[in-house]
Amino acid sequence: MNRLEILETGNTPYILFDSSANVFRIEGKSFPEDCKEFYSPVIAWLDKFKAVNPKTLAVSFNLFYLSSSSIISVKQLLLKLADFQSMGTDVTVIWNYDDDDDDIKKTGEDYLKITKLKFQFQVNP
Amino acid sequence: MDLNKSGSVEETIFTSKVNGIKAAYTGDNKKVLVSHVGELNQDMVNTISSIVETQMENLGVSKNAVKRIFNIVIEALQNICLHGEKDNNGYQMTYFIIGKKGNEFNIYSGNIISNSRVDSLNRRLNAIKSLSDTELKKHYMEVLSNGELSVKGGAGLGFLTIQLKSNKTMDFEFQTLNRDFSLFSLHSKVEG
Repeated sequence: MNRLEILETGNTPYILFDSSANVFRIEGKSFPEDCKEFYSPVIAWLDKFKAVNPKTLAVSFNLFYLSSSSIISVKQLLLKLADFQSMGTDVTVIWNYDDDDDDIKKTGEDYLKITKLKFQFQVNP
Repeated sequence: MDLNKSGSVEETIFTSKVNGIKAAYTGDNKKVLVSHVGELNQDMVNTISSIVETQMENLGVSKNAVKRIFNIVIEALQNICLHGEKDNNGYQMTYFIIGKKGNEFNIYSGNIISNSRVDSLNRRLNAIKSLSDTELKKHYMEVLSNGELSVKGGAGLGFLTIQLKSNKTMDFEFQTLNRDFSLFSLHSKVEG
């Protein structure tokens, strides 16, 4: 239960949620044919993880492409993180983007407005 | 309805549409870069989008334009996968073409839809086309904030995304094929 790892494919991101190592990250591109099918297990894992009641939770995103359906799915994932925040967990979303990628930067800003989570914007080196 | 029946009305309309598009990209400084006709599944979406990306990079298209093109390509192709209908033999007739005219990239896609869906889709697309830049962005934020995934898996953001990324050049057409089905065609442009 401590660890979720999903390897990246041609149209889905790499996901690693490891509570023992305190690493939570989502990287790559996202345009699965069925976003519900791909993201439901990830969101379900987070739901189960609530039972651990972590003091802090820092999740790092480094996505360079999101299809329109994925944008909704990632929003739903972020809203699940907001649940943690309501429970008292100190949640940080680390939003990484390439220097010249205004789209991804803007998507992060949109998410910040919608979820009201604590966002840390970071430019990729 | 068997769209594959040689010489059927449906096939004639479909083939004329596809040939008409391709014909517009012959001649000086024009080229058909990508052309796919027939069934479309997610594996093909991955392949086609990969080919498009590589081609654009080889042509030296700006990174910004490549992203826009890639965005539109994925939305158009996944729209077909999600909503493209099949005929009685389970065959899904679609087309996807990219034509280059000078520095302008034209992205065309088409799929069969039930006639029962034409009116609402027509209204929705006309509504999107009527939005100004500000209204478009505002509407996008509204759908993003309130949006959920539908039963089919779409999110209602696809056409908005295409309109945004194509600098409001998204155009569409419905051609009646028979009593049950129409051909839905989409076209948008990106400056390279």
